[in-house]
Amino acid sequence: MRKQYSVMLHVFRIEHLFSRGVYVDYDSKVDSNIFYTSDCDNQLRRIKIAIAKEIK
Amino acid sequence: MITSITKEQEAKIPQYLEEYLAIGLSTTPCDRPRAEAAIRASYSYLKYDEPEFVWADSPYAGAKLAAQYAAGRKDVTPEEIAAQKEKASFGSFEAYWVSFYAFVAEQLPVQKDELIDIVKEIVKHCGVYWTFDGRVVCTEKPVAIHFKDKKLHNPNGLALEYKDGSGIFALYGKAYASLLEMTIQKEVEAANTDGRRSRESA
Repeated sequence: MRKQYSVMLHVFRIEHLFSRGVYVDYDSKVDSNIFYTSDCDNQLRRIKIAIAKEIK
Repeated sequence: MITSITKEQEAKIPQYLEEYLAIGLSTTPCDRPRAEAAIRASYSYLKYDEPEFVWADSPYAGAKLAAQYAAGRKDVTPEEIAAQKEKASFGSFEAYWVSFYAFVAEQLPVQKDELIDIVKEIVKHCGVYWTFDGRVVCTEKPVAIHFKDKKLHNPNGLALEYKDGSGIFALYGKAYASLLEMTIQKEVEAANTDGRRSRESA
């Protein structure tokens, strides 16, 4: 088996962008809901889920 | 700590959502040199060796290539291909959360580093991809995306279509295995509606 990395964009999101100290002084509760309940979020996440279901 | 944002900052949020939704729904061909440069930069950032790139026309073809490379052989099982869904980075379709980080980095008084720019380049220029030690399997973005009421929908063909003809059949967000299955379902629903109307008018 060849070495495969974890989902790299998630690594950036969780381990770097948010926790490296770059944005720790920002309380995301202020307005993250505006982003995470938007059409942008809903439509793109639905596509991701639909594609993942078809990879078989 | 920032506990509130100004009216001016808040007014820019819709622009970010619109811009990144357009990125996520883009059906233009990938700019391969820029996609590769951005992913190469992400490897460099993580101090991984520089990878080589292979491209496929769809996530389904890409998942097979990724499974073959992971296993080190051509004859992979459906289970091995399906396992790749958990290991995929979804490229342009990750734009929804990148919009949030881009807004924070660019509009709020926080320390900004180069990582957000790398991630922005990846979602702008690359479809679904898989990352290995020394190799990246990249795939193209779709050539067409059809929506109705913000859900995948196309009664006449694929709602999400890739260059190689693969994709997703969907009506009002519900996926079907084939055009035949979707058409049958559509006819059943039409017949049920007609039956109900007949009973109601009798």
